[in-house]
Amino acid sequence: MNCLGKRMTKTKIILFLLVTVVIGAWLECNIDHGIAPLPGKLGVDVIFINSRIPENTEGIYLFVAPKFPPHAINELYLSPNSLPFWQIDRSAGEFARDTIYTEIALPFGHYEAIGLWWYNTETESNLADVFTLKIAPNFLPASIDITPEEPYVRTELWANLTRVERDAFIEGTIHFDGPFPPNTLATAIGAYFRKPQKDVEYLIYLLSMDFSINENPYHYKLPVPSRYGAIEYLAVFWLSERSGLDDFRTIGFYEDPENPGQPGKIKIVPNGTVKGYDIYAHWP
Amino acid sequence: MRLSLGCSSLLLQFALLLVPTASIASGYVTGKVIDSKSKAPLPGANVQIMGTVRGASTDRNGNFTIEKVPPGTYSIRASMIGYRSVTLKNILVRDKQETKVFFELRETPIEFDPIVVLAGKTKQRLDQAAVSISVVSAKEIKRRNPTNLIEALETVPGINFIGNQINIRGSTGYTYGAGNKVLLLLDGVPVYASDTGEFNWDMLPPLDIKRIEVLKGAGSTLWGASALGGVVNVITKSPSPEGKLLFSCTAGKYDKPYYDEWRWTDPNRLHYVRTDISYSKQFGRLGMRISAGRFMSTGYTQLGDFKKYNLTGKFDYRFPDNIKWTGYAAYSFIYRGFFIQWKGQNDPYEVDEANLDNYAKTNQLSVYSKLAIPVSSRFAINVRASFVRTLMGNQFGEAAGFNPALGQGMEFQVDWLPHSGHTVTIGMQYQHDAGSTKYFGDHRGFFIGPYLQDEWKIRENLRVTAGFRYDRYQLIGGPKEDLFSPRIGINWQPWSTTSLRASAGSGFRAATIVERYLELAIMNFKIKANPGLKAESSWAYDLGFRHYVTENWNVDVSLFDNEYWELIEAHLDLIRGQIQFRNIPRARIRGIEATTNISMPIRILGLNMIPSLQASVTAMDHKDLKWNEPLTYRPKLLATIKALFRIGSAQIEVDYRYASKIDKVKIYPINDRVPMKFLDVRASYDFWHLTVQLGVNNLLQYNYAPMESNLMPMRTFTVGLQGEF
Repeated sequence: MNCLGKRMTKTKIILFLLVTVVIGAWLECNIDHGIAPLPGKLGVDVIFINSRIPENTEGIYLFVAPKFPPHAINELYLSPNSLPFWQIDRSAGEFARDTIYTEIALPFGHYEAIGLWWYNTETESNLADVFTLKIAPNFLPASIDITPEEPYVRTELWANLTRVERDAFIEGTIHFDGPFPPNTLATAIGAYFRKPQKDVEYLIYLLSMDFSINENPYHYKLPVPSRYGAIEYLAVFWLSERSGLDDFRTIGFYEDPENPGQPGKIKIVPNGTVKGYDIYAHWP
Repeated sequence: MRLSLGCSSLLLQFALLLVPTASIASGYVTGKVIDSKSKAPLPGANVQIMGTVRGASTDRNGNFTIEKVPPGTYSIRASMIGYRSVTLKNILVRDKQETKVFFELRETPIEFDPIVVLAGKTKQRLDQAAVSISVVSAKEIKRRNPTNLIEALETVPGINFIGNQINIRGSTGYTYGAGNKVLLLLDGVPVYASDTGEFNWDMLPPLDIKRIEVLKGAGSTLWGASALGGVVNVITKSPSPEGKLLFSCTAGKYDKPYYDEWRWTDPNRLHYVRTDISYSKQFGRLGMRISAGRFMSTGYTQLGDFKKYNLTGKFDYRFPDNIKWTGYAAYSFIYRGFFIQWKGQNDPYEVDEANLDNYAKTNQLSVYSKLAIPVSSRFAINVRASFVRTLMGNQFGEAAGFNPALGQGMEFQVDWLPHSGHTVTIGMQYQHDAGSTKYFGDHRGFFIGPYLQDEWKIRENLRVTAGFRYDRYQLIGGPKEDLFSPRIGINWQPWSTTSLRASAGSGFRAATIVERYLELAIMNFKIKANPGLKAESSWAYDLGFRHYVTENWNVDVSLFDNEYWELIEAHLDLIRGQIQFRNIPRARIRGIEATTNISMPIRILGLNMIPSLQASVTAMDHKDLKWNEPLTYRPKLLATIKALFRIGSAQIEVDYRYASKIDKVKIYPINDRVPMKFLDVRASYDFWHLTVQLGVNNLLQYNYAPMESNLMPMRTFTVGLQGEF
């Protein structure tokens, strides 16, 4: 019986050591260190083509989009800090150029767009605050690739903040043909300097957007930059629950009174407000 | 004249002292509890006369007296943490006579079936409970040498933390600190901030903890609001019969970051120190325990630094006829930075310069008063009053704007054993919460809820539990809701080594004031109010068995299915960059949890060796049933391995914690996500009255972010010294 007991004890020790060794070996074989620094880097020379920085500028961020248009704003890589726009000499004259170099760390991959996003101190930021995109010769966003062979890519962006100098206003009323659908995520009005034809142009030509539409009828007052002289397309969009930035549905637009069914052109003047631009929207 | 809820409750407790206790024929039981090996007396052991509400604790000499026991034949059980319980059967108590009993308790390497109170609000053996419960003992807490409650809980099977938020079987996810779906109790009394629902995990020093019980699944029938996904009950040590001084000093030194490019400061300066001291003594009928602690850290990140101070006092007074009053007060002051998100994945320990002044100080005072009156051997009254005051200030550079959040609670409970086999618990709970800041205005709300539960011991090995609770929640000037929380459970022990349990219980939680009304801009996000939030509710189904393969090896397996309605989760509006708390109409978390404890005491070369192992796996499938996709911030697999090797007075412990990669997050889905793999190693040596500990946390230098843009600490070297005099 004693002999059997000793044998049992030895077996237990061997079993315990074996288990310990197996666990240790398993851990050793699986050692990794989890999250690591991003291996790629994009360097961008941002060339400000004038020194007009709006007074209400809170920050200017470089963004890189793996997919463009992005499905959601949190699918963009944003630079951790704002570009030091305060270093630009605002008194240097309207056409004085200045360049700021900035970098962003990225994983290896293909990126469909690079641009700059403006944040202001007064209102919520939205897609219309993308004021610069790197454009390819085909007038579409230029893509880049960060690869193990080429982990560092340097490029340049031409920045002109007059696009977000929204000194003029368009006012009017939006009439909907019924109550808001229960699955509404957001309803917005957007102003374009040219009528978009394809998806990406809905972002490229966008000058101003307001997502606060929440009643029927809704009186809007949309700020727009006057330097474009006219808004060629003023439209109302609807987004259903869980849809993304690439799922906007046009439910109405300002129609030319002379030519119903066609977009109407709205002339704007610096620091002025134009009124009476009503839109009739139809829920999908 | 209007009296506050706390004052009213204290007056009620005082009035109840005048209630005469039954004076019928009775005898008394005296005895002694000793250690079976050393024959030394065991102070602080619990002795309970089964089938009655009568019981006592042993004094410094291991002696106890239980008075006013009606004549009859009883089973008497003695239990103590770290020892195997012993039940003496057929003990005869005669009128006006003393009955002497004697217990010898044997020390156990692993706490197998401790006594718990979470299952039924009365003392019960863990293997006789109808629900899944885990227990962390004081011994285990001492071994882990934690700096706060989170570290004491993080290796419990089925638990993981996302930031400071506790998840029991995936209950909470991450809600940015607002609204826990788990109820935290201090000695059975709720202690959450009444505006945010947040817990202060630093409210008491770890050396004051006697044990922590964790109920997995909904528990609102007995515990009320917030017990949606589970309940954590922190039970503090009672004043010691003999004067006892405890101290603990723990220091940690953060290693340099694994990647050189992540260095942001001189790594040699990054450290923490926690010091606690506690003294307790019984002065005749009055007992007291006073503790003070200081916890200081440089943090391992920018804004990670903090200073925390806490002062706690526990007092009890034993009136004649076994009437006992207990009072507890815990004050904590915290000054800390708020690290919200990293600057970037290549600067993970830094924050944007614009946020460097994000510091806040928090004052919290938690107080409770309890009175237990055993009116007769079959009838006891318990009255509780509690008060939690939380004041936060200076958040995000704001100098003012916060007022104290006040939570006041009161509970009246009756334990009644109408005849053999039944234990009826009847009670009424009232909780009033108020909070006011410039960020969400001034709001108040209350709950009132009666409850009833009966545990029926049909046979010695078969117990059925059924209970019901109704709650009225009223937000003053706002909506009101009526909530029903039934529960049923069964425990069957077909053999002495096996118990089977099954339960179906419900839980609820009303939205906190913060979830409903907070309006705040943080960086690029705006938090929007949602006054129309509905209360969330759940049904938890649990089917489990526990089996002893040998005396020192047990296995516990549980199948669970937690069904949620109107689950409150933070919703991110990706179009406008807004965060709002919203209801998810239906969600489900179901899975399996398996735990095994094994211990093999052996003797080699004259040395006693105790290798032991605890391993657990929790596999879950969680789903938002409206959109048929995973819930956010919840892993699907959790695993822990705790290996302990004890040789004489020395011991080595290895803890490994694993959580699978989180499927879905809200803010930055493009950030790298990885599973959690943490390995902690500790060695300790006991000599004289002291224990010295050396350890390494996160030995493998694993970099893990449970929520986006927040890395957990790098490898940390720890040293600790604990003393008991």
